[in-house]
Amino acid sequence: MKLFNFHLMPWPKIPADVRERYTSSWVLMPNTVYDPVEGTGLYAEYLDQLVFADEIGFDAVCVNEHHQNGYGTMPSPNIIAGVLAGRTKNAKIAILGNGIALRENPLRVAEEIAMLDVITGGRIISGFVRGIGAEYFSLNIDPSTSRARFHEAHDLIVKAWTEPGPFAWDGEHYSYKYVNVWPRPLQQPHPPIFVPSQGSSETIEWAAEHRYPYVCTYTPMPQLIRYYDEYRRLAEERFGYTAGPEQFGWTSLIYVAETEQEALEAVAPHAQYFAERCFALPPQMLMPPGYTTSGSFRRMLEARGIGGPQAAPDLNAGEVLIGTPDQVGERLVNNMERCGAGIFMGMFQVGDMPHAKVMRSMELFADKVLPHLPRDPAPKPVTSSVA
Amino acid sequence: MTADVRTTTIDVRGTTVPCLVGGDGPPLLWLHGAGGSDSWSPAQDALATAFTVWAPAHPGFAGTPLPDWVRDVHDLAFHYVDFLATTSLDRPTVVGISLGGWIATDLAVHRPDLVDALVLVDALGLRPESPMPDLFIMEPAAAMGVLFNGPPPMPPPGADGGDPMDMIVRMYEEQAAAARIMWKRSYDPRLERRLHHLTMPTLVIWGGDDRLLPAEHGRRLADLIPGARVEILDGVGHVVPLEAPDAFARLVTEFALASIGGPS
Repeated sequence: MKLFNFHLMPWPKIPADVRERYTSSWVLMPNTVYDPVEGTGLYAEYLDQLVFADEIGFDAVCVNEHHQNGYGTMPSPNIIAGVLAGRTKNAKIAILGNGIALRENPLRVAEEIAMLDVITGGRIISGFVRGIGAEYFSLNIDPSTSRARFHEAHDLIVKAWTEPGPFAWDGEHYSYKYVNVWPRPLQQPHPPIFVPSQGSSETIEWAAEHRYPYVCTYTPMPQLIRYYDEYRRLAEERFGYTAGPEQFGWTSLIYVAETEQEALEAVAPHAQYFAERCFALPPQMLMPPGYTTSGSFRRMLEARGIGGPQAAPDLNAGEVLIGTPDQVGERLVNNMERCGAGIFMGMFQVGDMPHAKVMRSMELFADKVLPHLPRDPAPKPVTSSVA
Repeated sequence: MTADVRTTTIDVRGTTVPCLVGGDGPPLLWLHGAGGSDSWSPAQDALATAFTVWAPAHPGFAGTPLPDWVRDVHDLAFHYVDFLATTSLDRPTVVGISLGGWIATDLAVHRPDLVDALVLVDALGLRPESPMPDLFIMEPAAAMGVLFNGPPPMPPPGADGGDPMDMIVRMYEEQAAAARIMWKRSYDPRLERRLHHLTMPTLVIWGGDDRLLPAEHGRRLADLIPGARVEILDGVGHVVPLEAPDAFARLVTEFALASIGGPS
């Protein structure tokens, strides 16, 4: 399997009464809650954690894009990727992903990813996401155009990477007289494209069609298996190929300690912080109008009940990876086999978990878990055939 | 309800438009706001005693799909140019409420020849003096608190015996259709320079306690429209026809009947 280290870079001082005071830790929580002096030290620690993952042999480190919130302080994931480019040596840098539907100028994403790919000697994985609902408020993009913008921005970026410029792009949402990205990406035909998603049927089909590795986050294991089975079925029956484990990622919170009790106690307050404060998102911010189809909206409503609380994200989908090295190693392999994933994305830092705790767990993971994991190199992820 | 109301479906250049039609008299085109697309209200019923009221649903409302060609308010304005041609409605009085008021303004700015008289009710469109509250980010109850002065004057989802899930999904669809027009901004910065094209008799009606767009905004809108009259209804919120149907219908009826055949 491939090992990815997944990081959100959360703000660790969201007030306990964030919902009452600000409704949400997204969009409306004032940025005076953020302390730039403390932020400097925090970025340094978070970056150290990712650099350490590279040193101990992770296949990739992951960064991602979120705006105007305390959940993840990487509004520009490509800046963090640029920093990691100079500080990591072997690990791929997986940007999971750029919120391309949120961009007024997605050509900028094509340029930045190409730059990063050349600078790193081809170590970039390029995830593309629509961005979560709240971000359509933050960046003032009409959510009813989200999916159309995502698809057009994707088509534009891939064409910019793969076809000689200059060419003109005359789309519904974007238009350019001259598309001619300098530099071009190093990896051919282009850096691998990953699709992180919450399991909408439209995205599963689209990812399967393009053979893009698909990663479902925060999703309970039985549901996740249904999504991945659907991807495999579509690949086989509609798109004429067999989707292997290298096309599926599985994400989980992970924490290793000498005893299970110690591990559970170490994680509990930070997982709670994540659920209650980082994920303080009322339904109308998570699902703004038109962000999802009315069919998907109805399924979501039926699942949680009218007026019911928003489902908390499932950080431990599957057998919980919080325990002793033996427990975590065994459960990790079990979970990967259950859902047929070849890429493990471990979230070692969660919520307000401090640096020292994260490092203790990662060091123990490096010493006692990682050497026993089946690390046979999976085949390279299949990239787009779009030319 | 007194008027004989029928629901008809009109094909406007390939777009299916459900339309309520009721009453008898000269034509009146009713352009609804971001909600209330498919119910016949007491205000419409009162107007139907003097007019034939045509109340079409905007594209994306009343269970119709949101067409790709809807990109901004102008597309809806020209959709109503086509609607008038399709239905052969001859120079109706156009009444636009809130979002519908913006569409009505835009229609009348572009094609003043098609509108006999114009009634703008707590209309969007003109740039507000200060930022408008964002209804999209509010919990439904909070949004209702901004829209209405007091409890919402319509039944909650499911109270009429329908499936509440269906109503909530319908609301989600209609909000998406409204978002297409008003998410980025719920006004058109170019509109102010164009308002002088409104040469038809125009009445601006506003709720005195409108918390979305204060009455002062309504007065300014009327000032910018040549010869427009403004009526502020004390103690009434944003959705005047629902909160004060009788006073509203009386104002519209008197104004529109006096205007028929007047200058355009």
